[in-house]
Amino acid sequence: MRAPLVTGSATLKARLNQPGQVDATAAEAGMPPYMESFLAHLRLLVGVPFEYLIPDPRLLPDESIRFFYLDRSWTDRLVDGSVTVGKIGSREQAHHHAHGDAVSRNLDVSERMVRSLQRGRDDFAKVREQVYAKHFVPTTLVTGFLMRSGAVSGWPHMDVRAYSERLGEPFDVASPSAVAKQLPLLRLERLSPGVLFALFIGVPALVTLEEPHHGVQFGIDVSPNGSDANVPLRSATGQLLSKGAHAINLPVPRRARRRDVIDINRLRDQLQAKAAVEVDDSGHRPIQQTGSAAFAIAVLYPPWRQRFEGTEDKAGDSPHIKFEVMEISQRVRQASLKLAVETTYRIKEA
Amino acid sequence: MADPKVGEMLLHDYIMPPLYDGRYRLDVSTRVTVDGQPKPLENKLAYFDVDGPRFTLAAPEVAGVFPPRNGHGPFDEAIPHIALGRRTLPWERPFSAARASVDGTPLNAGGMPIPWMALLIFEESECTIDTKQKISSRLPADVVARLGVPGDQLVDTVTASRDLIVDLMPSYEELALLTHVRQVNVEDRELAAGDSDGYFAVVMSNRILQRNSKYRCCLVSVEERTDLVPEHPPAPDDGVHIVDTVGFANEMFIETLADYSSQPGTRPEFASMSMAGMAIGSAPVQAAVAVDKGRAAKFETSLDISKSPYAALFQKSLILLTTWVFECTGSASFRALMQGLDVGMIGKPSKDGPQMTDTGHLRVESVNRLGAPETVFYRGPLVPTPLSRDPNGPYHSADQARRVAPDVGAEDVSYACAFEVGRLLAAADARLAQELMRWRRGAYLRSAKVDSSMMMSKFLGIAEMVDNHLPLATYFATKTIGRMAKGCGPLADPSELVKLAGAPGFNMDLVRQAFALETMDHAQALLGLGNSLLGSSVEAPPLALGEIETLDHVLRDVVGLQRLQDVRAKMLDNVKTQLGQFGRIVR
Repeated sequence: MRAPLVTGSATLKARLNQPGQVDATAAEAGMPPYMESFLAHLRLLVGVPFEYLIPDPRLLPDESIRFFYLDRSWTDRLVDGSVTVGKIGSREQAHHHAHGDAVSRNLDVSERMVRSLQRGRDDFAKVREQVYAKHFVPTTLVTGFLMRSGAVSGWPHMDVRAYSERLGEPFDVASPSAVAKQLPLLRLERLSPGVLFALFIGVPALVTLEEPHHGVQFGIDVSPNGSDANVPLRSATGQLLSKGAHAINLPVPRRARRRDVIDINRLRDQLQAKAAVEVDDSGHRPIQQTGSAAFAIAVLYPPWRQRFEGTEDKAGDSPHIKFEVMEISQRVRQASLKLAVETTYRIKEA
Repeated sequence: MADPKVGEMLLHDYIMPPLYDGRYRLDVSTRVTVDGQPKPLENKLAYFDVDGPRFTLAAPEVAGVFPPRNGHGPFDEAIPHIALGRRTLPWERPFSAARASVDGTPLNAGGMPIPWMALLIFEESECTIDTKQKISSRLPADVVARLGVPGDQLVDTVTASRDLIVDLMPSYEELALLTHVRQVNVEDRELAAGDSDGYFAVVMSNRILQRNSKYRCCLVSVEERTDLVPEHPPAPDDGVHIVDTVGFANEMFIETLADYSSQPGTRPEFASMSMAGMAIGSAPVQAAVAVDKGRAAKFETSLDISKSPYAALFQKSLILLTTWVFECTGSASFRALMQGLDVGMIGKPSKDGPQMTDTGHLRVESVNRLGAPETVFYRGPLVPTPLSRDPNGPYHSADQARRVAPDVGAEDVSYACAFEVGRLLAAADARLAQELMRWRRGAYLRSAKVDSSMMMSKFLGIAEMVDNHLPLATYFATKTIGRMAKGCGPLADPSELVKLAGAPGFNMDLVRQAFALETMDHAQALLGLGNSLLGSSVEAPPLALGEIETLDHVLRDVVGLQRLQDVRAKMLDNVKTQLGQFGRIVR
């Protein structure tokens, strides 16, 4: 038998010396679909235990919403950790080292598939094709919020939208101008019945949470203790009238014998009386009460849209300098450079 | 009017049907005049019914309800309503025939026709639902007579105390105000459902919902119910209200007294009482407080109206068209909850919150490898400030990701934690391990191939690029043979064609001389050399790419075939012409 041209140990040696074994563009270098899907989900923290996201429950008290940036280094480590499974020797390590960058770049695009996959609209191949066909610039900044509120359990299907600019009310969410400003939603999920988790691409200037639409609703404003009920005046097109940023309220008249029955006739008469005298800040008048259609507009109760905008970062009031050192120390591994940084910022004195 | 755009809606006060539901007689008479002589045709009588829902409403007629059927939620700010898929439905019957004028235009309230249905909201305990009841057993005889239906017509009914129904029931004008038509764009997915024409009749109710109660919404028919629907709403609340108990007292209250009072035949005077009491007291008798305190006390303690044999007399029934229940729970509306949210970036400092560093790290007690307790820093993936991404390549172990905070010397285990979480999550997924192995195996095979081909290329001195996707064995075999063959000099002449070419019979010049041919071309043609014999070579016509791709296309390419046949015929002609004088010899 002829001696082989090359021995196993020589091959391994050569491969370790030359890590770029398989070109990342080669078909064989691509991840299997299941793996790509799994890692893309991990990138968006799907399946990560809640205690790791919020290590102390006091960080997300009841009835609160907390905005955040996603630490991409953290999610990169998650992916690194999961690729470690089955890594038993230098061969696997060399392979991972050669492909780590390509995997990471791939996942920057693949993570956009997660929401479509979670919704189960299409299968993986189709979703991947759609996402890759758009040639996205890899995402760098991902933001989001966590909300713990009774609103999450009461309105599980509320609409969550983020915009890159502050849009003035009223705006139509379906209008092209609003859609152009809307940030893509990477993930929107209820982690528990009362906790909502959302991730966006980019930094939003405005986040809106909107009551889910059940067609058209009618209603009245009831004070939190349930004692008062008001009808805010509306114009003929259903827009809320406001004076000094407050709605113009009309107390709801009730029937004499039963406090929980609206005296519809008198309410109509009072609305009509208001229509003659009230003018709001922008010059609109309440709708004239000519019949049941006008009455219906007056008691229209459109879904509430909560706006979050201009939230300032008040996480820390200490000098910015410390934070920078912290961050650099995570990035810089060379002792000399670290030392130089420390000297610059005079850490030892602090 | 133009249809509303998507996202818009038009509201109409009412839409009247061309004809009320009912029985109609069509009386056709035709006047014909022939030569000035009237010759009328025979009168024709025909009957037809206009039919519509009257005693029940099929489920497809209901386009939507709010609050949702069996829904739980904080609906205390909502006005319940039902949307009906047929725009004219609430006006297809006159509220009261006595109030409909001859031409069908209803004598109406405030310029609007009165619908024949109303949406009443009962608390679940306030009403009872009965199905398949004889109408005569439930509705007053005069109402049944005015409806004009047989007494054994089966209907579903809702029954509640007379007082409650009167309290809830909208008056004529209110009925009209609570019912309207909504027109939306048929393309509007959110508002229009399925095959709708974009119109909905909407009936609202007038009751304010209370928190933590169960409600039953009943769409009832009020056709001919002039006994229950008041023409005008009750007088406004002026603080103190005179309770009208005479209505029922006349019917049976005296008898009740006769049972319980020591002085039969006398009727106590009823006095005014405050509103609050009325709202709570659901049993009329309890609400009617007699001036005579002693006797009143006796009523309140001894008389439970619902158990008395006269209970049915206090009850009134209405024809039930459709019904649904929902529960008003929760403490606040969406808006109130949203407005009450505590807003901030993650790690927002608070009095009760944990101690955090300004970078968002938490102190965690831990035990190091030597067993000594130490305080380490941990920060989750959610951070209050944008961070740059760690550019260092993939990490291979959690220890690689451990850091030390330079200012305090404590360890930061955030990324090491992330690494371990990822590892554990992946290890928990059996399929992922398989896929990872598959991924690696594919790459190993590939790199083995690359290694081999690189080595072979070097060994064989191949400078050109090797396409590793082609079968490498054949490639290198060809290259090897080529290399072996290189430098061997010309091969022998196995078929001795070279020798043959030297024979005099193949020398054109000799042939021309021998046969005394005129030109060299003739000699060439005779020897069959060059292309002079067959004429010019055949040029394939240029092909439009993409047109001829399959064998079927080739077979159907008539033009190409024709061209080839033409060329063949031309060649044969050439041969015939050129060989004319030698034809016999050649043959």
